[in-house]
Amino acid sequence: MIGAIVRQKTAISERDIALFEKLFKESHKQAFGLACRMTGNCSEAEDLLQEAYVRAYRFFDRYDRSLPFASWLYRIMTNAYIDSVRKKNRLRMLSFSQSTHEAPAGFDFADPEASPEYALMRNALDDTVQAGLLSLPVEFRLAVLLADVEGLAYEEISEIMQTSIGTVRSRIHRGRQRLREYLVKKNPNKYAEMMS
Amino acid sequence: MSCRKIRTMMSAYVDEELTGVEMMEVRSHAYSCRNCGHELEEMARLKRLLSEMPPPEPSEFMAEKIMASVRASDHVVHPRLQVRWTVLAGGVAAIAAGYAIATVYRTTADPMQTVDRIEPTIDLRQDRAYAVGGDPFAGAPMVVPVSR
Ligand SMILES: [Zn+2]
Repeated sequence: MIGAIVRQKTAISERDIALFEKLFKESHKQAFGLACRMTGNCSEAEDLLQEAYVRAYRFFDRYDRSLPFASWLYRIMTNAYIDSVRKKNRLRMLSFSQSTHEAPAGFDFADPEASPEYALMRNALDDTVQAGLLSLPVEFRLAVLLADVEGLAYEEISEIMQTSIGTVRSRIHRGRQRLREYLVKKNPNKYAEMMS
Repeated sequence: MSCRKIRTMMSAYVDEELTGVEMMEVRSHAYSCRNCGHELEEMARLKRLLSEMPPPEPSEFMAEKIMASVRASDHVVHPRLQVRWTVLAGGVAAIAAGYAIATVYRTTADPMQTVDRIEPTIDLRQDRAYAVGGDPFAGAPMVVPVSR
């Protein structure tokens, strides 16, 4: 088994590298936009994108060439992102339990603008809608972004997020409802303006 | 159909993910029920608002930087190092087995959770080999030195 993993790393042919570069060129701008919206921060997005392409290259022989490369890449990227969010949450839980003996209220930020990380973010996308997206649980945020920013069908989203179409549907619905509640609460005037 | 039922279908309506019959049900209800009509309009506007957000542009160096790290990731294996694969396989197989169990465990425990997809791999540094993975239950990094 390990032999297979190592061989995989070295056996990617010159032609595959050329193909990978071509697919990279075609996909990276769009993928960067999605990563920025996912993370709310374009320098974090760059790191995430790098991680996703390195993973994609490592497992390039598993890529089914009959399917769109972007979908496969987004699957890798969303997994990498969810991994990193969980890791951060674990660290946060740890630091909370050590300092105050209290667990944080929610897994994602309840109010991203109030968190110190948010204030310190460089290259942060600072509009109200983006802050609302960041306030959503990560699975809801991803589903809404894939549907609305990427314009993907539920079936494609279910492949990327590796879940059922029913789950995608409910994540999008609940994500949009929460986003709207956030906007109404945070900035009612702007929301009214947006909706007029 | 009740307002409550119609509202659960509204997101799928604006995404055009309902059947023809369902689309018509939502449309005719929204036409005759003022509250639901208003709600539907807001859903559609919210979707448009999101789809019209300007796409952030990458820096001019990003593409080169990422492709460079992709190429660099190709050289993890030290060419002069001769590793006894059977020994090494033992270390990684142990981690992989843990993963297989954890995957089944997590999938059945909570289907809403995405199973972590950290692949067990190996890391070769100078003349030592390590099997690298994660503790499949706690997620903590796990490094197993593999003797030669
Ligand atoms: Zn109604």
